Amino acid sequence: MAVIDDFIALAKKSPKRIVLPESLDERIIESAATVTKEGIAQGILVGSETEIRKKAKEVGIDISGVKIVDPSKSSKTQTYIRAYMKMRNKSEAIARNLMNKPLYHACMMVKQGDADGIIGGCVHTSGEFIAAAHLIIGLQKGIETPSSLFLMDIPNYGQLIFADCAMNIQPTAEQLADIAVASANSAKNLMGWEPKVAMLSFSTKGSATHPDADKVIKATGLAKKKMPDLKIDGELQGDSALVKSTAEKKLKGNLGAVAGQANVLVFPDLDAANIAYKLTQTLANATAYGPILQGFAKSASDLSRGAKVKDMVGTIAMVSVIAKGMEK
Amino acid sequence: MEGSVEERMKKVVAEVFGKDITEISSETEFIQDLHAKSIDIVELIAAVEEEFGIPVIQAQVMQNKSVGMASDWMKGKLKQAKEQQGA
Repeated sequence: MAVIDDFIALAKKSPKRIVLPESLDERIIESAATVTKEGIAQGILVGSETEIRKKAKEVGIDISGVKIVDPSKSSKTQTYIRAYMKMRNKSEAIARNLMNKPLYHACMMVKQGDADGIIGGCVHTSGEFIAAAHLIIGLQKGIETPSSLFLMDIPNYGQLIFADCAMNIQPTAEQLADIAVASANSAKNLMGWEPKVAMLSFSTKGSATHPDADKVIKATGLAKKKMPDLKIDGELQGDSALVKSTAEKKLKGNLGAVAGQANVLVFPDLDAANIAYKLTQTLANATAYGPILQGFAKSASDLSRGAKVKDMVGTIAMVSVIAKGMEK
Repeated sequence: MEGSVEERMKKVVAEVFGKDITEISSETEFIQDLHAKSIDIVELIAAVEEEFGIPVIQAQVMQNKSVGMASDWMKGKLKQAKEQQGA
């Protein structure tokens, strides 16, 4: 069974309220209808009710059961406007403008606990979606940089989390530490794992000396400070992180809790991370699920603009599982 | 609706970035001088839409580096809107 089927089964156990602000996109309407009908999640479309119903009728999708929230009619809009003004210390005009737009209204629904998670980015750019989530939902405690993960399902190996393969191009040590902490949280919330985070480099424990390796060492220390109980180690090469016999040789038996058994791989930059995930897909025939956004205070994720309904349903299931994990 | 487009734009920028209007000039640059981040741009667009009554698409305004450039861009949009109303 594919991993995504496991997520769908898990999501069905306690369906979450997932809000979809890009509500006039046919794929989004179909995804909302599908997850609601199949009991994966309660789909919530945010936008003009008249236009959503018209579009659904045009494309022949039955949206009975899907909740529609129209910011121009919702009794919550005034509450959200006041909440925004208080949160950002901004004028009513700015707050009213944003809370009447589906994307920002939907983010506020999540912030206020009226929805459990949000998915967007198939109409808006990723940058717009991430900025909206950052602005309104905010970030997890201790995290200043949102990031992303891929869950890699690798034949004859198992699953690993790779980060950050999609967002931060040249993260600083501080940003890399944030990526590590957010990835550890994602490993717990999405997979139910005890995270073992390897901070990857071309060097293992001083086998090479270079400012790039120093960055990874610094990031490892910063992540430990942010999350003292976290099982994290670095700097490690890929084989030291994953292969116990190699780790034993390179670390001279001083393995610790991560080397040789890591389940979360944090790459030093986007070049390394993106190349690694693409090569793993191509050479190991792995399936990559994501990118899933991480680091936000509530479950939020991005869709590619070319996403198909099947991908969207899978992402809704993953966001639902993360939302459930974040409740703990 | 009082004042020139430049003055109205300066007022909006000052409000969004928490500055006094005297600190904002046509040469003020959003990123270099005001250290604008993506979340500031979201609020700036909202404030500009409210002030000028014209919908603004983020991708269209990103090339406006300074307050003066944003004002010139808005003048063009207002002119366009007037022409469309008259047509």
